Amino acid sequence: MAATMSFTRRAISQVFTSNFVHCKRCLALGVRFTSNESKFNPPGNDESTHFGYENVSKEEKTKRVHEVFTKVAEKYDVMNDAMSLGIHRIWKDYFMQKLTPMPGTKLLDVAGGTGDIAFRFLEYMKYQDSLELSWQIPKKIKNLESWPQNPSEAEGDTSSSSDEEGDGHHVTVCDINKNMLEVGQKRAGQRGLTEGISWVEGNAEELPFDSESMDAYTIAFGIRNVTRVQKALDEAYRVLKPGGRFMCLEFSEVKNPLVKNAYDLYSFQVIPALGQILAGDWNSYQYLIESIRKFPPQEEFAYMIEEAGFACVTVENLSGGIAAIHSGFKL
Amino acid sequence: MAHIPRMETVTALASIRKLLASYYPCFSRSLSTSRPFLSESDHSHDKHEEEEMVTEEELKSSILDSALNFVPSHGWSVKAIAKGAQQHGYPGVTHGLFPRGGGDLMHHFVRQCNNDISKHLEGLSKDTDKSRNSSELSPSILRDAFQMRLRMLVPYMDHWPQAMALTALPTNIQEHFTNLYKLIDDICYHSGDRSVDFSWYTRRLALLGVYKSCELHIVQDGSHDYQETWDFLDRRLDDFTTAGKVKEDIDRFTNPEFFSAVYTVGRNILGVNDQRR
Repeated sequence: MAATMSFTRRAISQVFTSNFVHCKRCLALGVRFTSNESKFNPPGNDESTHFGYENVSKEEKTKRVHEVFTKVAEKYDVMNDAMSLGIHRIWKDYFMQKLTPMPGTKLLDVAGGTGDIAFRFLEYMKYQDSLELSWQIPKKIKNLESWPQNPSEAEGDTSSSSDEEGDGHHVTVCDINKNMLEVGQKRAGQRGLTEGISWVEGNAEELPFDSESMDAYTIAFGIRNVTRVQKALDEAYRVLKPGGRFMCLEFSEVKNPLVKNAYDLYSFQVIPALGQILAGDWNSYQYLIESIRKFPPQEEFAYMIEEAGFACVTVENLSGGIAAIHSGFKL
Repeated sequence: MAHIPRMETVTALASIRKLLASYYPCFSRSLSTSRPFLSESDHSHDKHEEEEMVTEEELKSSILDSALNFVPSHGWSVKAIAKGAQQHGYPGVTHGLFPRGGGDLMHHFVRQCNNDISKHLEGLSKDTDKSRNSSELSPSILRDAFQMRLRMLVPYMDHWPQAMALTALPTNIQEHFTNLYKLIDDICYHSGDRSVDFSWYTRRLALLGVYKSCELHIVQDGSHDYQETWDFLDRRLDDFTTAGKVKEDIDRFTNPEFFSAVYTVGRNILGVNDQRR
């Protein structure tokens, strides 16, 4: 208990010291004033937005993001592994585990070009099927000798291992960039995952799906590339069925100053260089790391999700804040 | 919904929330706990219609209530909650509302049982004699309360061992002990305990032991109508009452004068008490 109190005191003092160093107008509770003035659009100006550290018009941004992903599509997965040292796989595994999809789930994976989340979903559903048939907890704790010694000798009825409604799970991968989708389809073929998946080209701001048609909506490392984030969130709200879950895995703000320094150094020095060596494209990876810095931090993005109408919005930091999972429900 | 809020307002709100979250962990889990929203029976977005507004807590409660129906077939698990949500017309993924999965379902059930017992005991103690002194607990009320509480487990007895195992998980431990404490406290109070000394603690601890041992007994009891468990309960409660009496006896013999008396007698016997020589 003492440890928690001293931790919160340190956290509060961290917030306050950063406030008093940077802030020009402070409210009593300490408004966090970031030195990056153009984090949001200045009020009243709906024409321009940020593309990395540049200011561009909104149409320009959509076009340039499209160009970036056309260029990186082939080497996208290699670069992900190189940049995150393979940790992105763990993040995505945890993301799918957190969703814990049930049989019959209709998932919409937006900006899911090369299919990482979709493949994990399909493999999770296959794993769940095999789990149902394995050992169940014994019904009564009597006659201990009759406990199964070995999972394959399970006795007693294993409760409905195949659901009555049939396992109608399906994942729709939607991406604005055709090249990313093509890479994804190729990978799906290689892994033998052709059942229960469909590939649709579409814009996250105007989804080509009916309202209330999806059980779950996921977007992994895609929402910071969307020009109008609030519009994408509104679209997510529209296509989800009541009770549906919105989940977003995205790079976020690292709070811990030590980790932050190391992470900034790595981002700005190593990643564009890696991009040049492995993919022959410095600028695209420069855009990538700048777009991470421009994306709102955890609490503000959570607020935006609530604005779209979602309830029970929660945030979970991964790797100290380098990535974060936001989750909300349409209730 | 289309307008983007001013930066200062957003950051002010965000830092207020962050401050609250650091002092009150419940805020960090869910940023809006009592937000009213449309119930599942009204999906149309026609704002002119009469809307049934339910809070999040009520909705979660009703999903868990439906999920309890699926416990006999699926155990205390995420699957049972998903089935419960499906009964409400929600997709299976709505189980994500309960991050502790089966643990949340179990805690909900335990809280419900404890509330029922409390109400029953409150009704009882209004009728009984109020002039009981604090050194006695009514054994009949104790026995009835424990029996009633244990009988509530009967519909879920097959999977209760799983629930007991779930209470050992770190995320569930705290709430498990809180609920257990409330249960024992209620039972003790309504059986007539008005003590203000150390026996407040010892009684509750002893009754906790009684309850837990009976719970362990009942999950492996195969007798008709769990008769062996009620006999076991009676024996434990007898021990409890006897221990109470023994404690009083001990109290009588552990004051300083008694020890000095024992010391003097010992010296007399040994012949080394030369005060009278």
